[in-house]
Amino acid sequence: MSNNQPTRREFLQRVGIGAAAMTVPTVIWSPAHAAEPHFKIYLTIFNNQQTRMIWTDLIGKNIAELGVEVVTSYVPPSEVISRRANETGATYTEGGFDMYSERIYYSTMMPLPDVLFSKAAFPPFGKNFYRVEDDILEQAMETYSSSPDPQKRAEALKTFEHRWYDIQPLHMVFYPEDVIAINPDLEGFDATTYNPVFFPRPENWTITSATGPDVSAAFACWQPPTTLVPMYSSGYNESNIFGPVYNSLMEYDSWETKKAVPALAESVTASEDGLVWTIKLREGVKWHSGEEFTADDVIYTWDTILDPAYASVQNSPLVSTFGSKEAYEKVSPYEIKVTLPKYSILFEGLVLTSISIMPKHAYASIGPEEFRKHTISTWTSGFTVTTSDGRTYEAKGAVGTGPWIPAGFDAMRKAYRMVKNPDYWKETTGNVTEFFVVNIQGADAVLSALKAGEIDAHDPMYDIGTLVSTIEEDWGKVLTFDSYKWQQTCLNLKHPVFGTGVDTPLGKQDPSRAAEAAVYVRQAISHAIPREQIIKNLIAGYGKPGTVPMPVTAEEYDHDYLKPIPYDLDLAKSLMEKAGYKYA
Amino acid sequence: MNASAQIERSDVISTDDVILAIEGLNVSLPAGMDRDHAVRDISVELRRGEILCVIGESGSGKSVMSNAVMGLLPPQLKPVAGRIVFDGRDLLTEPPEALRDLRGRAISMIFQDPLSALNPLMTVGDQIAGVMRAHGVGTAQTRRARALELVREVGLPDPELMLLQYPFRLSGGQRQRVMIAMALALEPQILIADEPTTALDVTTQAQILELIRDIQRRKGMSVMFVTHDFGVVSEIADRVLVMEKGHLVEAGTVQKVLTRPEHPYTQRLVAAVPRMRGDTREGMQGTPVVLKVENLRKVYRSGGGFLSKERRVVAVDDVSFELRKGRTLGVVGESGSGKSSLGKLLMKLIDCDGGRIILNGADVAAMPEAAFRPYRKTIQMVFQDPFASLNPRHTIGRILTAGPVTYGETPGVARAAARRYLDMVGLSASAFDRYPHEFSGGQRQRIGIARALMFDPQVIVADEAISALDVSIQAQILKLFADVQAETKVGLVFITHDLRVASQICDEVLVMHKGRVVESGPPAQIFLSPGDDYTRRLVAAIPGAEITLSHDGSPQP
Amino acid sequence: MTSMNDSIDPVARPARFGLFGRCLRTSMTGRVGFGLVMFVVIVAIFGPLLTPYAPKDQSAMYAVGANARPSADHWLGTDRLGYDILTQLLYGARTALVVGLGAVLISGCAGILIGGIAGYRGGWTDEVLMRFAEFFLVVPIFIIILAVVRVLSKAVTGTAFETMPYFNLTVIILMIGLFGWAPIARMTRGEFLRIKTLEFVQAARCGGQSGRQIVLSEILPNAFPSIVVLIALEIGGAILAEAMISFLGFGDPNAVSWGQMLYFNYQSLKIWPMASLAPGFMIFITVLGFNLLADGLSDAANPRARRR
Repeated sequence: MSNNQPTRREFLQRVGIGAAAMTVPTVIWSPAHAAEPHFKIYLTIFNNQQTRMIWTDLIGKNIAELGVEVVTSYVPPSEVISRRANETGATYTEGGFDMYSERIYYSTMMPLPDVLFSKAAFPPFGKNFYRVEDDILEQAMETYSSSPDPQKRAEALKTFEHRWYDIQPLHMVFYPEDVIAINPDLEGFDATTYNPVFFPRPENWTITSATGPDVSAAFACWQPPTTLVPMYSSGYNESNIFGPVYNSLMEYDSWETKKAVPALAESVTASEDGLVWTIKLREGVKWHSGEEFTADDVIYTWDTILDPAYASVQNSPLVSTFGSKEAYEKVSPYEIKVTLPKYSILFEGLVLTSISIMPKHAYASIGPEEFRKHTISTWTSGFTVTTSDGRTYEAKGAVGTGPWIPAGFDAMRKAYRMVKNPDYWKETTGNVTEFFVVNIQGADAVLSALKAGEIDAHDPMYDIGTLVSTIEEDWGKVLTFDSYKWQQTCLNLKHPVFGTGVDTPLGKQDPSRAAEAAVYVRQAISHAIPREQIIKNLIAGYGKPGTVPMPVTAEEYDHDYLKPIPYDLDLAKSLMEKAGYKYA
Repeated sequence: MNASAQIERSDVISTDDVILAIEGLNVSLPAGMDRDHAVRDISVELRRGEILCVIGESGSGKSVMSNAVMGLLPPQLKPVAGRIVFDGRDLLTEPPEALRDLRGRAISMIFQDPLSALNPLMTVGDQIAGVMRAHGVGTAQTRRARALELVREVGLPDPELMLLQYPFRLSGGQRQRVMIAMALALEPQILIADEPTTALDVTTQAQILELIRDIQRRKGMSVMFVTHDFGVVSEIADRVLVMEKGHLVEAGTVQKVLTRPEHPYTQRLVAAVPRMRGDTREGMQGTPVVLKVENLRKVYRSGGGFLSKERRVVAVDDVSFELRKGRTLGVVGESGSGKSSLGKLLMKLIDCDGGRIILNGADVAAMPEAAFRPYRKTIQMVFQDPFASLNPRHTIGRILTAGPVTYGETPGVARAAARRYLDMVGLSASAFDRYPHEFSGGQRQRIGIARALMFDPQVIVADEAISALDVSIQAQILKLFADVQAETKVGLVFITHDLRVASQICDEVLVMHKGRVVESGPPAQIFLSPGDDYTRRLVAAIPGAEITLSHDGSPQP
Repeated sequence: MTSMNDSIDPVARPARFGLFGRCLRTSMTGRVGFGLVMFVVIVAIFGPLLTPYAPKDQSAMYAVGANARPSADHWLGTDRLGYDILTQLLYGARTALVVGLGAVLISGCAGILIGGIAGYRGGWTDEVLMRFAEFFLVVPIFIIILAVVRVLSKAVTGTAFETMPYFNLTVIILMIGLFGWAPIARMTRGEFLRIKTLEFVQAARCGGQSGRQIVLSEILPNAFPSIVVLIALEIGGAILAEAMISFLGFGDPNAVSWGQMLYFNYQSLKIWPMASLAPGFMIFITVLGFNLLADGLSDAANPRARRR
């Protein structure tokens, strides 16, 4: 396709002959493919992000080059989200999905593939919407997450990566880099953390041009939040706002080192077998209300998430880590002992680092059904917190131990406002005393706001990569971050052709080879994805070609085995032929 | 009013000072018109305290001249030569601001259609006061007081209340009085009246003419009165100008122009003025009855939608008459008298609410359309508006033959008949393939008559069939009706508001008022010795009674 | 004043193509509008002969790349999707015209039929039909169209409709058409109400013509000039509506539409303005063309309005 494109001159020469036939103009086009298609894929494209719409559509067209009928539609994300949540793995025609694309990530620094791809994580409760259920992958993920031996874990992860690369259950398109433009006078933005996703750490921001004691900074966020309770969310739009308010037991030191350091915990020690953990809590930490932070708050937080009535999105990993509430106990007000039923990587990778600790004295009286509607979730009004020594505190949003105290929602500015916590337990380096998270939609709009001095930084959702050339030095400084994420096209692996393979010619001929045939089809599709071109043309080079669900910058990424998958339609067709499809 | 009184009136004008002089006025027409100039070489003097009538037919340029004085010509009409001198100033060269100041203050104008000249969203009081405010005269209080005074002066009822009324609540005559009040607000020296009574009923017209003359006398104003109606001229004018195709053909005192016209055009025009005749027409006697109407009744119900209350108006109330073959029945009345509804009932264009219409021996009143269809051919209609009554998109041939072809006539036979009737109404057969816009109003009315004749009907209903035509054309069409009737022996129901016309053509006249027949009988009886009060008022209001009295009634050569 | 009109105004000439002819003869606006419309029509018919690329050919992605500047192969360059901008513009003209004419064919037929019945019958029929039309005038059209496009594209899954090329676009055309009839119906009704009281219609009834004949040969031809003006306006409106629907991201992924070009390219306006400005310009001249044509027709239909 790329090589046999006629030049305009060649074409015009040929037109001499063809013109007579072609001068009868048709206003109705003829269907694109005359030959009977091999099979049909419904490609649903989220209509909320143009870059992704463009490359997904481009991938669809390339798949169509393999003789597949690709039915493309632009749909709101909610449509696919509801379709993929079915319990049976239904295909598109049955009410489920065939293929769509999304950006995805592990919600911890440690790769936790079983959260996304384990059989145990099938919908409706898990996130394995694609129904990845390969025995080798399953075994590798199991070993990785339950083995306390780092050596064994590393090998298991390697097995996972290789197996995925070989059978291509889903197709990683590229690993994006996050591109963020900030106010050139802003220092300390690098302190930004990513737990569970990106969120800013304005307590370490310094606006160098600011004078006087009150320094205000603003951060732009693409989508408005739906809830500001941490246990209900793992999205950018929400953690941008609640992130600075809460702490977890451990936190990441900096993006450079990706090293977890104690936060609300002072130390965490494990037994040899990795089953018994002792957590010593930091003493003297105060909630925004003035109440002392103790082990009761940690126990309360875990209890709440484990309670199915609260329907937390963190329920499933916590259940698989702790098994039940029996697993932990308060030893003293500042010490907790945890006894895991079996070793789980999730304890270190998720429980310690990704769960924001909630205040028992302030939240315990809020029932499960009220949580999402409460001021702690909306910040739109106030509520009174009574401390154990009988004082009252007027909260204008959530109550946390973090460096920023919520000061309500400013409807005029469409902004969430916070003020700096003077009693924060940790040394901070910035001069910013007032912080806003502003809702701005669109990359152009966010850059205009930056240029106008209305914001100082923004979240990575804006994908400003292609617009970098329009940013001038005097109002915008461009920073790039390794996003630790990937963009993928998702397949329904229950699909009779590219999932189970039973409807492929080879699978029909020899049902025992159906799964093998499906692998050929998926490999063919993978070779039909023009990854390099997408990176170059659509994200201005800010990314790396994708292979397997593992951040390309992670230590665990096996660069020797995971070579980029070439865009090669001939190779793709020969793979389709192996699955039994014929080309004229 | 009689002839001697009129002579006195014109003799009163002794002061010869000229207040407005139009000198050699030429107004050009845009290219592509039937002539170059709307008015050509007009020189007119309007004297202090006189009423000068400008008379002419459609397109004579009479309105163009009066509009030129006011500076109200449409942009494509340009004064190319001449002067209009008022108060030592040439109005054609004055700047627009100066003209605006003159308008209303020194020269005022009233129009034919007061409804469209009044702002529907402003009260009468505000509009009258608005004229003064526009010229910066007085304070809000004095303006209001003056408005009240003016409303009284023009004879509007309940002056206090009237100031608060909106135009749509007023009758046509009352609106015209409001217009006059506005025109008088600043005590102008000159009043220009452009056909101010044409849209009014005859009795209202008489009142307005009376008012204008009265005011003119009291204020010593000069009035330029544009009209097409010699009757009106004879009522009001001191002097008369006669215009034809943009030229001034004759000028003189009203007495002289009406009784001793010199120019042939004026002579033709004066001759064509319909005159009240008191004699009985030599119609056919003892012929069979072709149409008999008994106790016919029509009630209009309006606003009967589900959102508004129903209103009922009795349009035709217990009307009975007979029409014999070859005879003419006149139906006269003012607007709203129900005469047009009666015509539509006869044609079954609207359904009646009671009574009988016996046509060809059958009562068709209650017949459904399908049953009536065969009877349609026997009764046909000629309409009022020659411009609206012919479909502009069809050729004359198609217009004429459509009906007969619908009734199963072969196109060939219908075409032959069409040519025959075109000939009968005085048009050449070449009209057949042409479109209505290629014909003049009078010609179109001839086509309308030919269309009615196509069915060889027993009855023709002519609804105001000549009222939209110029007076000279009116006479021709009336003659055509008489000729056609003589030839085809058709029975004619002639509906008109013009008693003079009715007196000329009818064998019998019904006078209608508010849906009822108040009087009926031969014209001589109705017009010379009316038995009913209303009829008397109607006859008395006919303008130009002097002409009738000063002539023997026979058309002049 | 009536006395003047007779001699000054040329009376409407009801020849064949009379309205169009007069529009072109007398109205500069009309001529410009007609010229623009003809330009778009010619582009739609013959434009594709000027380009070697298929309408949705993204091959530039593998060669010069997206947002490429003009070159011998790509006269206007490529856009963010790697399409040849010129090709998209040329094919987009077809979509625009199909949408404009298709939608107005539907709204015109429905509007004339419903308005005609309402105006001719009057009374309760009129009342009911016009309330019905008002409903269509006040509903938020775009929200409904977007919802229907969504629901329908879901509903047809697995049915024969799905294989229909440009199903989505067809639905959009249908919806724009179905929601565009009300103004035409109101105009038709008004004209019918006016014309049916004119004497030549009564004359036709006196001549024994049936209701159908009267409507078709007496009333409708005389109502047509006003309706045509509205229809020309609505064509422009329909094209704009499709562009807006596409711009909101609900367009037909398979159709080449200027609105969709804008949608995908406006964010890189600063990077490569041609990709957004060119389709914007095409939408502009097309809609402008139909609107000017409507103006011209309106002038031609009402010579007096023009003169004042």
